[in-house]
Amino acid sequence: MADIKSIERLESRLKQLIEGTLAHKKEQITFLGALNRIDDLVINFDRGDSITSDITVLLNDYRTTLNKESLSDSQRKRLGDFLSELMQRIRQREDGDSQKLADEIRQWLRDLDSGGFRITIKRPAEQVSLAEQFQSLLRRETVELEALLAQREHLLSCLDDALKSAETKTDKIYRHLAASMIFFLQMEGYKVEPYLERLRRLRTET
Amino acid sequence: MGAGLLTEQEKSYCRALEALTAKDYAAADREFEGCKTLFEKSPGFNVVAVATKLLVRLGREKMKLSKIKAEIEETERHGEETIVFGQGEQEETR
Repeated sequence: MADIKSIERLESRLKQLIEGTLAHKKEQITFLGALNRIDDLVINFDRGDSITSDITVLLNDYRTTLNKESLSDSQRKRLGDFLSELMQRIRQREDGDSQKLADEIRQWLRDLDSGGFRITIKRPAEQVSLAEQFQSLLRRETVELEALLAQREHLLSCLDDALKSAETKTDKIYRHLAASMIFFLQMEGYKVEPYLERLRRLRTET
Repeated sequence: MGAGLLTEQEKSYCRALEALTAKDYAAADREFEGCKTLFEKSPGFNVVAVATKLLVRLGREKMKLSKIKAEIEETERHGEETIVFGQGEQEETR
């Protein structure tokens, strides 16, 4: 049928146009892809997920491609801002792998800097005050609680979920969140002994 | 879910480009819808977004035509022809 052939010819031309533009803007697309990946990592970290292996993949995929030669000044500035945010988060984890990745990101940040601008690197974790650490933890807990409440109607169910996460994940946020909920529920007159017992077991296991 | 570093529009834009790279034109078209104001500033990508939309529509038209063609071929194979009159009020099979 002639009409189908005409459509196919037009399709082919349009695909050529799209692919040609994509090829022409390949570097810009790679840059945007990297920003999107870093953004996903930040979101996942704030949600309490482990992102260590994903950061390794990110570094493998983009570390050599996105450098000061391939990016414009504004792109380097934006990538620098994103990497700083990611590094700030990963430094909150105290394990060796996370610290090593944070060092790699810092090195990437240094390589990106051509002197035309300065990338603001947040203070290293050891210089962050205890009060700031606590505030950061509370902010992350608020985000976590909102996610739990989106799935559960009652705070007791959220507490159960938080304890399950604390039992399976190393991030301290869940244990602290569970403890806060237990304390609050106890003040409100709820029986919290079974939950408290689970929290105690976690403390003795680690 | 916590707020990230990119706006929702920017994320849509990134996902659209990712979908295009994977040749998933329908997904790209959906994502472009969510970030119209962003790519409007970039003539190159504006052309890509319009081309993607057209491509998706052509794909749908092609499917419709292919279906009609298959029905005609099927009818021809069975030696039967269905004539459909104007408003669908009269239909005759011979």
